[in-house]
Amino acid sequence: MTNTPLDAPSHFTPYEDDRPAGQWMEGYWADIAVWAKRLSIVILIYFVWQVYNDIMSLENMSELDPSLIAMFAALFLFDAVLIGFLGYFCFRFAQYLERALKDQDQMVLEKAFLQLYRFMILGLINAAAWLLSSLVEWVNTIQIMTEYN
Amino acid sequence: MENLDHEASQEIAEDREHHSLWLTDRILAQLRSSAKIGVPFITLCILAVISVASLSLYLLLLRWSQAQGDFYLLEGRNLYRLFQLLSTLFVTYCFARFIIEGNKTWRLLRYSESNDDALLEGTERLGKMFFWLTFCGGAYLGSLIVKTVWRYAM
Repeated sequence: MTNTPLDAPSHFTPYEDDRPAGQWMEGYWADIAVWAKRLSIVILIYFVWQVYNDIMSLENMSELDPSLIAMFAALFLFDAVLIGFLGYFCFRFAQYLERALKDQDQMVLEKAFLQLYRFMILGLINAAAWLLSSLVEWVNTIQIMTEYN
Repeated sequence: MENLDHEASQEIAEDREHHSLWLTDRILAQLRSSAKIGVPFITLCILAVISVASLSLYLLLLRWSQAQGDFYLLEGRNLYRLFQLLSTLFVTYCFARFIIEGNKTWRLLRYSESNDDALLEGTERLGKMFFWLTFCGGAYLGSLIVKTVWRYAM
């Protein structure tokens, strides 16, 4: 038995039924990493835009009841946190995937797909919030149109 | 000597194997778990885009119908309204393409446990899904910036 230093790189040992990913799969992963990184940049820009808009909206609400302002502030913060984490997980997925392909590191590849899973969970929550807010807007619009008529 | 050469080439091949990427059970399970969330995610996106796009178009056409007189493109806010309409339609189109690719991706990856073709095609479509979502997001941000600058200029 040989002693290996603590900082020696760990080599992944595949099980019998594990298969090599192959060139095609790695090519698709490289493509996914590029577009996931670009998507994370788009989400980050949208996050900054949304935070700026929310701050401007809160400033315009200064005449409202403080409890109402606090409620809107909490909603805006929740929205910003959701979008922020969505962009973060997308970026980490792209980063880990790129690093796994560059270094041929199996452990980093597994971390990448964990980030993809977290990205999908945040995506589901964001989509639900988006649907809910659009339904609320529909209700408001119908109410306004009814009063107008 | 021949035995030594054979052993050396076998070692190189084994070493190369150890440094390639593998489709382990963990990765495949992770993909299937993502697919279980991906299918309801796409369903919610379909409902949300129908709701948001229909509301945007309804409000746009309502404002347009209230305008009186003949339509001249460069008069009033007609050009701005036309830009709003076209940008909404374009962003909705890109989002619809994302939904189509995403739907195919997650349905293929859900059944990829015993189907290698589904795994390969699902992975390919995952890249297209990210492409269309990036394009849609970029188009939406671009239209937001143009509308904001236009509103301040008017």
